[in-house]
Amino acid sequence: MTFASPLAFWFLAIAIPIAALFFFRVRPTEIIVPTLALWERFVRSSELHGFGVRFGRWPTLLIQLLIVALLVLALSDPGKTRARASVIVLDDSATMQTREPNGRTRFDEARSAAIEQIHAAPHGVEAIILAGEPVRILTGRADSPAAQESLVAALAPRDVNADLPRAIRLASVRAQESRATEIVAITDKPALAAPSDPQTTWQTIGHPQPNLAIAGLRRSDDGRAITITLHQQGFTNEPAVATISADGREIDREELRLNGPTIEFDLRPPQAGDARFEVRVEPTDALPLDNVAFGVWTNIPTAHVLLVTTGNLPLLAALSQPNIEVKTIRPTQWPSSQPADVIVLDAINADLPDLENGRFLVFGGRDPLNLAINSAPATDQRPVKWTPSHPLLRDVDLLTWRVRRTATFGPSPKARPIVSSQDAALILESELNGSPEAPIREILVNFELKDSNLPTRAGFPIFIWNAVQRLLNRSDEQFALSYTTGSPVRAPIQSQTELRAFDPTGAACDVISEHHAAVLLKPQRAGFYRIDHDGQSRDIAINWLPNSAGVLSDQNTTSAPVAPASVAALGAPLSLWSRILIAVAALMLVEMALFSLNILRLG
Amino acid sequence: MPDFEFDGNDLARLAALAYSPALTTRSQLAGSHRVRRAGAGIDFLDYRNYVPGDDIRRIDWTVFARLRQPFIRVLEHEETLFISLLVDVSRSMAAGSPRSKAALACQLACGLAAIAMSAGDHVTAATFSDTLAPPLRNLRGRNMLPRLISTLRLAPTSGTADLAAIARSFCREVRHRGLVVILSDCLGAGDAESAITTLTSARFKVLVVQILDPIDRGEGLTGSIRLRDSETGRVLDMNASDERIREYRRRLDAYCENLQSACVRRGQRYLLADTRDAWLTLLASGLRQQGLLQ
Repeated sequence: MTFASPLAFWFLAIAIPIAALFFFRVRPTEIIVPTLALWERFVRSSELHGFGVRFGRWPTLLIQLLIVALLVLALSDPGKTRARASVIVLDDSATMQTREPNGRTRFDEARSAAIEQIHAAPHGVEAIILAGEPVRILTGRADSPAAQESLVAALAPRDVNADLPRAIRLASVRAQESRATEIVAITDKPALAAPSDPQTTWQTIGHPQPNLAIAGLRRSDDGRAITITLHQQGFTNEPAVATISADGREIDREELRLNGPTIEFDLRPPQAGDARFEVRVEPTDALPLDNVAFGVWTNIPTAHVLLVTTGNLPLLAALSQPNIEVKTIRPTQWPSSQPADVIVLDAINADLPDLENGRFLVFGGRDPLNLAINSAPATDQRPVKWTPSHPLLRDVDLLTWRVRRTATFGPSPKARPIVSSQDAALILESELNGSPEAPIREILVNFELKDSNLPTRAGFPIFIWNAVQRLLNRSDEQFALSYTTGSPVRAPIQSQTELRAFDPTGAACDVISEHHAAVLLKPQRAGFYRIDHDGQSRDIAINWLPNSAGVLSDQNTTSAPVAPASVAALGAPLSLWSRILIAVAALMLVEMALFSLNILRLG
Repeated sequence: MPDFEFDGNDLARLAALAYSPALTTRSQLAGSHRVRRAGAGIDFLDYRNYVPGDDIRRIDWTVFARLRQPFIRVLEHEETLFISLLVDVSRSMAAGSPRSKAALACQLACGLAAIAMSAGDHVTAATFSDTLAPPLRNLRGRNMLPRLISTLRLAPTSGTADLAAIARSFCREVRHRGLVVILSDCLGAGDAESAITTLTSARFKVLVVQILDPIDRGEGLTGSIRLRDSETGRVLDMNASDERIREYRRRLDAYCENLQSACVRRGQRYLLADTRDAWLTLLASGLRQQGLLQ
């Protein structure tokens, strides 16, 4: 026999005060009299002989305790095959699309297991939580078992990774709120160290299978090719073929041998800008989803940089990057007729005329736009305060920066410090008029390069690239080949009107406009999305990229399948006989109370 | 065991009390109670003519010398008094306030014995509960009083008193007829009236001293109470309402009057005592009014 509400047994504690009241209650004053003969002739006798006096009240106590036991039993709602209350965590991530040897996908089996759980519970389960990113609650107890079953039956796996830790945490919170006794996790992932209260039962789906997956898609370091990262397991030393095609036409092909768990290679991109392409690797396996990746190739325009310097080879070397064209002049050659998107001033102390319209990266010297204030130089400085996520500092390690002597730039209401040392601002940026909405016009590095170790740092060229991109109001997202599912996609789009977005099936999806960008809210499907704005249309590619190497082979499939967890509902409507039992016990309590009152009244 | 006090001061207070001669019985034993009857006393009562057979030592020779006719000096007869004290020490006598009924019974018994012993009378004392304890017989003289006191103090208060059975046992045990004083609450299992009948039939004079305490009178009973029969252990749970208390007192008074009338009908005496009464007062006034003491 099981109990739907075992917590009801705490009500047995009521027996303690009942017994205490029985033993320590105010008893009638006992008076010794020589004889009862005179009393007995006119008082209705409730006398008990010695044995009866001693034990005559015990039945009363026993009856009271019996009533309490009946109440507790009824409240605990016992049942012969009563199941326990549970919360189901159902993994609907991309790997659940893996097709098993029996022809069914893992999600098909997981769905069947979840429906079994629902069937096993007379009142449905407490909640069903989907573990794919973002974790969400599919259904709660408000839904009937039939509704829960229909919701599960209509589910399909999403092209997202699973966030099992978050799902289990959510299930634990939900279980504690609803006093469920068990969490049943149905997944093809290994079991996690889940919270012990309530107990988590892992129902593992699937068997290990070989897999070849596209795990990365990015521009090559020189920006002229597409770098593909493959993860494989079970295909070691086997040949593979990767092809890239656009508009149904193959652009490039790479035949390779899978001699390690991770293989990286380049493919030639489409020649035209804003071209959709598709990368496909073979052999295909049980999970076709990760054998294909989508992308949109965008040509990055070349940035023209004018370096004004008396001679600085490290700076010139750092500026010599793909998509940056550098022209160098001396200060005496200013003004130059060279077109310049960005002007780099390397410790120029002289007044340069006609600087109103440029964008400047300034290393020491003078502030050409007078956006900073003058401050006293500081010595032996190192960065102590910065925001790592700032676009200027992306992938730059500032911990090893040392500055022997700063220049005289200080933060003003127009110039914001980006990196600060103990005594001075080291890097500042400013718009022309101080408005955050305006494009950045000037980045001030408050020291001369010769007074710092910055040129020798590995992150220096990255910082230069970031600074140029920042001044040109460009971002990495603007030239991204693709985005990933499960997280918000921020596509730089200058939109003046309402945005509309369509997923790979052509259905409209959620999109919002946010500061020169269109944000797709956590896309769930891999493929090409279309964003319409201002009468234009832009394609973006979204892929599911596995977040670990052996996504298909880490599952513990040696354990026997877990039996369907018993499911129940604490707080669900009590069974009929429990209601009858409670009613009888309540009536008995009332009757006993009335009887006691009557006894007191009659004496 | 009854816890009571009885000391020399009490004896001094008893000195002025004496039993009424009417209580004496004819016997061969001379005592201190002078009766208006010729006998072998000391005090002169009268003269009478000599008849053959009279003890010539009792001829008044002075009168014979003057009148030449023998006259016999008739002296006042002095008789002895037999007092038997039956003290109830059953469990019901253990109750009482400010002292137990048994204590008051023992004090009264000691007082009555002391008065008798002072007069040289014979005292027989016995306690009883389920059965009659072996009596202390023929206690004469004040020097026997401590023995009586210690015996009473050591008597256990237990058992159930059946007065009728005790009376029958007493009649078998004691041959000298005299005054029997029953000190009891007379509320036990036995029939007190039957006991009086038994004793009077055996030519005992009977004094029933019924000792009650406030609880026996229904005083102080209020609210929800449990009455426990001290001798049988039976209980009665009840609400002591004023109406019930009044009814109980009415029945108790009727019982006591019935017992008193039973004594009076048989020419015996009855005294109702309360544990709040002073025992000396009971002896000095209560028993005097009964004509028992003078």
